Amino acid sequence: MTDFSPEELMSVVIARSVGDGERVGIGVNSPIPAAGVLLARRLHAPHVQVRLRGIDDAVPFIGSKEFFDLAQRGRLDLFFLSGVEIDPLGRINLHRAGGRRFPGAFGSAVLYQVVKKVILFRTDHSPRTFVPKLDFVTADGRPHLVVTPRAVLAPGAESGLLELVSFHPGESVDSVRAATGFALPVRADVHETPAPTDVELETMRGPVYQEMKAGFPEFVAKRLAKV
Amino acid sequence: MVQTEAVPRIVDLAQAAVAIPDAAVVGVGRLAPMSLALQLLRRNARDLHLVSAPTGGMVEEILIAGGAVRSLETSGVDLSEHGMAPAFTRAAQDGTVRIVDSSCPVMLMALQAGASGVSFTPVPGVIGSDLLPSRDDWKLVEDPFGDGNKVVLVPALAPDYVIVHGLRADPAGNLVTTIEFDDRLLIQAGRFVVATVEEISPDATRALAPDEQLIPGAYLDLLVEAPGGSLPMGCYGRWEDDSVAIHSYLIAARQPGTLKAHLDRLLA
Repeated sequence: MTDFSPEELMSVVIARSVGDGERVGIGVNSPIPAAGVLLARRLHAPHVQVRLRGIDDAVPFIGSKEFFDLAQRGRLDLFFLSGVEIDPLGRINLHRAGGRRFPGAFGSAVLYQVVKKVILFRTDHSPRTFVPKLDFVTADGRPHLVVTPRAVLAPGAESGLLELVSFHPGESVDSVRAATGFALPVRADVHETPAPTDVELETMRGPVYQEMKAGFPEFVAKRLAKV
Repeated sequence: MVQTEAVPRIVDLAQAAVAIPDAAVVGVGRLAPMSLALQLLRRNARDLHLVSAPTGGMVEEILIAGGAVRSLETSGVDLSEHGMAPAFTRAAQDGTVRIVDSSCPVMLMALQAGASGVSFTPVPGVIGSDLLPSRDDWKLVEDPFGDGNKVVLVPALAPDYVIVHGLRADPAGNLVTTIEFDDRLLIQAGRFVVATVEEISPDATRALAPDEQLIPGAYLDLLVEAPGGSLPMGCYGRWEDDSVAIHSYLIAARQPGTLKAHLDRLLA
């Protein structure tokens, strides 16, 4: 098995959750999901329709408004959001925390409530990110999944509260719980996240990064430098 | 016989910057009108209220860094792949610039209301977000056509001035820009529109690439030929972001002293 970084595993987890034929939107600041969706398109989901700046065959929306209108009609299947802070319900804060200001909501305050599936991704899994109470609720919605460098979380069917679905290789139930700033319930079938296969890694590091070069030059340069 | 002036008037950058008064409400195009923003700083513009369309980038950043901005309505400001916008972040933290926070679909629908000449619009979502209590000018009402559902109403956005950069235009002001951004809607919503373009030529609109769109010159008031007008930011289909220049700005922006020296060099 080839070595991989936690962020590469995040992209692979995202890829596996993309269904064939889905309409998918990817924000300009979401290279990790972009790699995941483009990977899915090369493996099991060749018919996904992608809105992503910088790829050759992106859906030719006129401006972002046409894209948002599609989402507002309930026709967008999958979108990706992040959070400076994430609370037990999966609500997100993108505005201010600990006296620091962050860029802002972007589309989240609306998209989180109109897109069929929202996957949250966050490259920091610590008690600073996963907090019992947000400093500011930027967007209120329920995630399909939460993907971090340590684990995959999802809301419980009845409680609506985030639960541990799987922990990544090198992590454990205890290490993920220790890195989470609120009590994290554990699913009965909790397991280790399956590592990326050689095919997944080779496809991502080859054709997918090539495809992303125009839209995310710095991200691709950094990822390839680590390979 | 009354002599009428051609609209848009073709002017130079200095004339365009003077046409935008201090304390004006200025909508900012997403294909960065950088040369005009720098010209606003050269004329020492002050107290501007900026409106992003619907997100902000280097234009908002540089105008804040240069002290030209009193307040800013935006869905978010950053320098995309280059990271956070330092002057925006500092000004928001210190409270030296008032940030009026919104979300992209809300601002776009508000601009559509402005473009369509109505005073407000309902918007989807937002309920449950702290944006709602933070905005005195938004209203949560019962949907008069719905079945008891609540809906958020927001006022139209129709900025007094709009500044955009376009790819090219003909002398009548018919403007070609990318389909990537929402600058068309911003132009339609604006009351006085100033456009810079890479070039003005009679055959500018003759052939459009699939990722280009044509905006009627009837919307424009002033037109400026400003080659390289978005630098250091990319100019869609022409060049990518100048990462070296952007990074040298980011390094300078860490300290007020080095930021001032950097701005002085840019404005020289």
